Amino acid sequence: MDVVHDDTTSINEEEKEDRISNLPDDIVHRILSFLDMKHAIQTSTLSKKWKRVWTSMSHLNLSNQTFGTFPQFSKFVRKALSRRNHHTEVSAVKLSFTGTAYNFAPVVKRIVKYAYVHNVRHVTMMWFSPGRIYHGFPECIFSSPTLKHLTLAMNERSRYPGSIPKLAWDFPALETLSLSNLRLGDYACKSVDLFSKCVNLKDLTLHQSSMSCVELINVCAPQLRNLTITDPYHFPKVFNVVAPQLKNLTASVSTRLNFHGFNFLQLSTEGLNSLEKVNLTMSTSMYIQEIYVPKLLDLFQKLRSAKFLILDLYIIHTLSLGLDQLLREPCPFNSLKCLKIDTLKQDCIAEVSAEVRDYFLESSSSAAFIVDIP
Amino acid sequence: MSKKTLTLMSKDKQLFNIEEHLAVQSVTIRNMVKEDGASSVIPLPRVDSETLALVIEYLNRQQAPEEDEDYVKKFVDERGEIPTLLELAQAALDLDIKKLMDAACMKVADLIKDFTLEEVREALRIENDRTPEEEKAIRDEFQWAF
Repeated sequence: MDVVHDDTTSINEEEKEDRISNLPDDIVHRILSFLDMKHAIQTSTLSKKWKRVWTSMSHLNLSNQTFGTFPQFSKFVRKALSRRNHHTEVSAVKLSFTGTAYNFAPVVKRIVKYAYVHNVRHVTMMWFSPGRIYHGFPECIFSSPTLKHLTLAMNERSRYPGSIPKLAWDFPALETLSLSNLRLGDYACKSVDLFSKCVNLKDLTLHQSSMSCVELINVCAPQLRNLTITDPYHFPKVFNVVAPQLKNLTASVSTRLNFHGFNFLQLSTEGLNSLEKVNLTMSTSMYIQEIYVPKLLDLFQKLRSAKFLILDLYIIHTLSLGLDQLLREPCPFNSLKCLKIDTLKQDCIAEVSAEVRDYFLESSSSAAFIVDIP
Repeated sequence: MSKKTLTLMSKDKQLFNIEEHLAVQSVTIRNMVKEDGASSVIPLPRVDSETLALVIEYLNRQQAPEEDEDYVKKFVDERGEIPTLLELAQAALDLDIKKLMDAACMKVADLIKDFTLEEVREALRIENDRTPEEEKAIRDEFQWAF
C-alpha cells in the first residue's frame, strides 16, 4: 500500500466510480473464485478486457446442475480446462455432481488429471448419486504429492454409502481429510489401513461412515491433531488409533439404529498422551442401559489424559445406572480441568446425578463443572 | 500495561483511533508498527472515511473465535450494497485483512451470480466496448458456457 499524504479532501463520486471500474485483479479474481465456473466464464462477454480474466482463475468450481444433459457438462469441462491459462496453478477444485458412476468417473478423471498436474491443494467432491448399487470414487483421486485438503461426500443419508479404494492412499502432503457417507472396508477387506501413507495428516473427519463387516480400522497418523467421528452407520469390531500427537477427539460412541443394526465404539490405542479435549456423544437413548457402562469405562481408560471432557446427557444417564461398577475403581481422568455436560440436543431437563459428577471430579478437585442448559 | 492506541487517517482527513492490538489484525498496519513503531498518524490515502469507519467497526469486534465466521458473514450481509462492498474489499486488500476481503468478495459474488450480464456490467461499472457484431461473435465462441 502507498503511504503518502493525499491532498484530496472530498470524496468525489466520479472518482469512486472510476475506482470500481478499475478493480484490482486480486479482487476480481477473488470474486470469481466464489462463482460457479460457468458464470465465471460468461464474464468473458462483459468487455474486451474481461475476455481472458477467467482463464487465470485459480479456483475451479464445477457443477453439472445447471447443464441440461451430461454431454453438455462434459463438453464444458473439456473446453474450460483446455482454454484455461496453463501457467496458472490450480489452488482449489470443487466439484458438485449429480449422476451415475458411469458418468461421474470420466469427468472426475479429466478434472483430477488436470488439477493434479497444476499442483492443486484443495479438492472437494460432492456426489449425489441416484444409483442403487455401485458408487465408487475413481482410484485416480487417491494419489497426489501436493494435495493438502480433501473432502469427499456422498448424498447425505443415502442408504448406499459410496466406496473408496481400500489400499493405502498416497497423499504425502495431505493435512485435512473429510469423508462423508462413505464405506470404509467391506466383506472383502476386513482390515483397513487407508491413511498410513498420509504422514502429514492433521485433521481427519469421518462423518456417517459405514464400517460394517470390518474387523479393524487403523488410523495410524503421526501428525494427527484432530479426529472427528460423527454419526457412523456402523463401527468396525476394533477402531485402532495410533496418533501420539492427537489433541482433540470428537466421537459418537455408538451408532444410531439403522438397517445394519447398531453397535458401540471399540477403541484401541497405543496411548493418546497428548489429548487435550475429548467430546463424546451417545446421541440416542437406546443405549441407556447398564450393560453399556463397562464399554464406557473402557473408553474412559483409553482417553484418560484428556483435560477437557464433554459428555452428553445420555452418557451421564447410562453411567448413573451402573454406579456400583463405576465406583469400583477411581476415575481414570486424573488431570481434568473442565467437565462439561452437553444437553443441547436432548430435550430432557439437565439432571446430572451427583454421584456421577463426583466420580469425575474426585481425582481433579479443581476442575470446572459446567452444565449446558438449552 | 496500558493499551496503546493508533490513529488512522482516511483519504478525506478524518481521524480514527483504534487500540493497537486490534489494529494489527491488518497485516499492513502490523508491518508498519514493527518497522517504525507507527507512533504518529497512519494515513490511508485510498480509503474514504465511511469505509474506514466500517473497517474500524470490524476490527473492534469482540467475538469468540468460534462465532467469528458467522459475525463476519453477518457484518457484510448488513452492508449488502455492491459499491460499499467493493470499497470495503479494496480497503481490506490495502490493509491486508484477509477474512474481511474474502467475506466482502463472497458477498459480491453471491449478489451478482443471478444477474444478467447487463446487470453485472452496471454493478461493476464495466463499459461494453464491443460492437453488436463483436458481441455476437464472442457469444458464439463461448456458447458452450451458456
